[in-house]
Amino acid sequence: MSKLVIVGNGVAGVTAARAARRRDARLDITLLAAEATPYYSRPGLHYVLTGLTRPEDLHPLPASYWDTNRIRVVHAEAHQIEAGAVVLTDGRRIPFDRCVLATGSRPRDLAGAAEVMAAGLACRLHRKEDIEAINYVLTTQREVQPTPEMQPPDRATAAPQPRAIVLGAGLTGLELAELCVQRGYRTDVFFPELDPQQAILDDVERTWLLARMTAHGVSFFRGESAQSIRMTPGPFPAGAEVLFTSGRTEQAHVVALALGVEPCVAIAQRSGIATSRGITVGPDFQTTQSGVFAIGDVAEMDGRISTLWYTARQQAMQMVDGWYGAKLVAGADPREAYNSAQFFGIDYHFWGDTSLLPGSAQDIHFVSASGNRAERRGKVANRFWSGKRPMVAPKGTDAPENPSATRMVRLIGFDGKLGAVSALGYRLRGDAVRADLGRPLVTIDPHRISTWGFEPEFTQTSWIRTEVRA
Amino acid sequence: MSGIKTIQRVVKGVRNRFASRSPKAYLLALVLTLFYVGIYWYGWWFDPVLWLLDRPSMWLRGAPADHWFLYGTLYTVAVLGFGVRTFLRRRDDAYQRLRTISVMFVQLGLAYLLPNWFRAINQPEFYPSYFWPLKPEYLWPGDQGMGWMLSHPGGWGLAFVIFGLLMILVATPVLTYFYGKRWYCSWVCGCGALAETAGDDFRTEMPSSNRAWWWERALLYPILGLIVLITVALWLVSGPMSGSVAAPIVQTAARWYGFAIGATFSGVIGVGAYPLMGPRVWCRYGCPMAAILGVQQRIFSRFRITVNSGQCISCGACTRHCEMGIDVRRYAERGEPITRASCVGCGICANVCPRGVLRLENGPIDERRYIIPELLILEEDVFRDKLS
Repeated sequence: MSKLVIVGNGVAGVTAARAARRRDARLDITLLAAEATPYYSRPGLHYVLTGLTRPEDLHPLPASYWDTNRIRVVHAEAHQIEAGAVVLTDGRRIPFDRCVLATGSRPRDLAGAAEVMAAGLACRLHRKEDIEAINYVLTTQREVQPTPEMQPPDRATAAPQPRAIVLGAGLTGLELAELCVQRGYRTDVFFPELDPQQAILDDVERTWLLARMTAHGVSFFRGESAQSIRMTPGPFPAGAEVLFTSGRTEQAHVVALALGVEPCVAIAQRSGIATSRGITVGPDFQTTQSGVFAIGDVAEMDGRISTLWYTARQQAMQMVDGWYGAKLVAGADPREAYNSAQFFGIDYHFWGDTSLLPGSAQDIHFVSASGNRAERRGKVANRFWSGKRPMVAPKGTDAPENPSATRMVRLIGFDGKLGAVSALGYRLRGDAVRADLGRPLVTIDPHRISTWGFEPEFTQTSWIRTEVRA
Repeated sequence: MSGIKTIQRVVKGVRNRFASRSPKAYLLALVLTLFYVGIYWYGWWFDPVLWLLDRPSMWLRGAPADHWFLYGTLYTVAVLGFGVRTFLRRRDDAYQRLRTISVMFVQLGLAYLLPNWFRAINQPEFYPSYFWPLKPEYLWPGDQGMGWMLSHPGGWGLAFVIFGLLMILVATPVLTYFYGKRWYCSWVCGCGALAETAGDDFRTEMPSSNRAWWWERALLYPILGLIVLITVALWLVSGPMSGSVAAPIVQTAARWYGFAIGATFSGVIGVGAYPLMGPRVWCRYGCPMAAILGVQQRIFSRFRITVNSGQCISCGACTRHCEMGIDVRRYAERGEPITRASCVGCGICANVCPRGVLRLENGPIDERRYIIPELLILEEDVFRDKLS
């Protein structure tokens, strides 16, 4: 191969370009970027909004990087892929020996959303450009006089606060909820599932996390799917109104949409490349068109798509490693997958075998060449928790199993051996956990849990074990 | 409830009030610079207010207040007051809690109360938390340094001299081996104390470009060379080469160093630059103690900032908050431990990281350069980055 063309400058495309350059200093690499914004960290967007970083800090690579590493960046949109060439919307053709489609995904739409967002009454968090819009919406709507419907009778709050509705309880939804709370909104999260984060957390973890979020002023409304959104009726719309499939309507000063994403498969479809939800790829990430590959959250392998930043990065490295015959990137083994997130300041870490999580979690976590659809039975969850101050259980919620826990570690086992570890409020040292995977569960005691810790020095934790058989 | 709101406001601090490179920031920089210029060379500016401190000065050191006592008092009050704020701001982090208490204690006890008490009992005003070359006179011969200390009655002067020698020749290398230079720069040093407390809001101002890194090395190590040269030369002209024509030259050089480096760079620029370049300008570009500690940290120390393999999301919070201008993100993205000479171990990068990617720790020295090869290394840049 002498010419590589990559469509998309998100983390998957950029990582593929960098990994390929590392492997071959003479390879001709072209990166097609439909957006003008240079490569940036999408997970970091939330932290710009909360004030931890600034928009300019989101770009990990200096502007000179592409020249220095002789990667040609073309700011243009691809239209379709022919045999041996990418055709751009302006008619130009860029020939390739190998092509990588890393076109990513776009936010799922909601009927009426465009109009309401244009009016500054709703927002979503997907791209760097959304930061300004979100700041604008949250700042201006805070002062608006509410309609009676925006103060639902079941909320016994004395001090009037502007109301925010978040649609969706995925990580983005919870991040937007945290942001609305930080900006002084009473926040209600509506989501279609029975429980948020049900794919990665078990009942106890979920109850504990929800209780902590509720203590911040967030309410959760399960089993509600948004159908459409419009501005509140009247000559001067105070906010937005959401209609749910259940027939329920809710009004709020601000509605934040976090309804998930859909793969951008238009280019592939136009080119006759097989797509399902996403672009269908084999274990080496090759599509149905020879020489054309797909990675990131546009790629679907074994019917699964992963929307994680980490997975996109690993897939890119794995794909390039496959071209050059190198062994698979470690951590590409699905039994050693990892994930981390932060919910309202509470760290979430996961290391281990994703097949031990509920079925849908395998979608979220990881897609790799080996695939791991095997049915695993006999899961055992041993739980360790550590606490200091008693946590106040808010009125009207069920008290969580470990009311004074500030940290929780869940051991997920298979056949009596450690298969995976999930931790809330406790940072895990990846190497240490991976080294202990496969160890008999009974040998794991508080001392061993402490060796997994990646907390700052001098942090004191004492662990209490409660065993749960699932 | 209003108490909590007040704490929240205090903890949030001046961060939002001095926007980067704003007119307010320049104004504050000017005020701080003028203050230091006054303290060093125009002490009489402060005469009208000295009476306010006469009582504490008499009590602490048996003499009426002068502008140096005013300076020391303001400095210590700043460290303590902003120290409380820093403690509250970072109260969820055990390392930050202990470290903040440490610098507050050292500043109050070792850099304020003790020296003043030494003076009260007619002994040299000795600062046990400062050593050569940061206070170069502690190893200089004659009236400029050790000679003056030894000339005091009793054995105090000798004790101070021996203490100073032990600290720089024995304690420093040993502690730096085990803990890296953070034991001094972030837990003991008074410059660091002010930086981490009063200067916390400005830490994001330090540039992290390659060009800034170049200037760091271009200034820091020559200054170290200079103070070593001057110290050796002073000993030579006071002993084997006394009376030679070099003597007045060396004396002048020593005085010039005290003015240009000790006062202007360390004090006037060091603190004046807080609002514009962060609180560690002296530490990064000038401090010879930092240079020595940094070299050892780089080549012979158990300290490192471990990177938790693949968790980095490249958000940039770590690089932004590094007061020494280290591009921490670059190491975190690659899974490469940080053992940079300039890292003072303040731990804020690890504190602000939203995914728990970084941890300051000490460990086996042969493992500190180990980079988890498969997980994350993307490239050593195939073609070297230009100065950017």
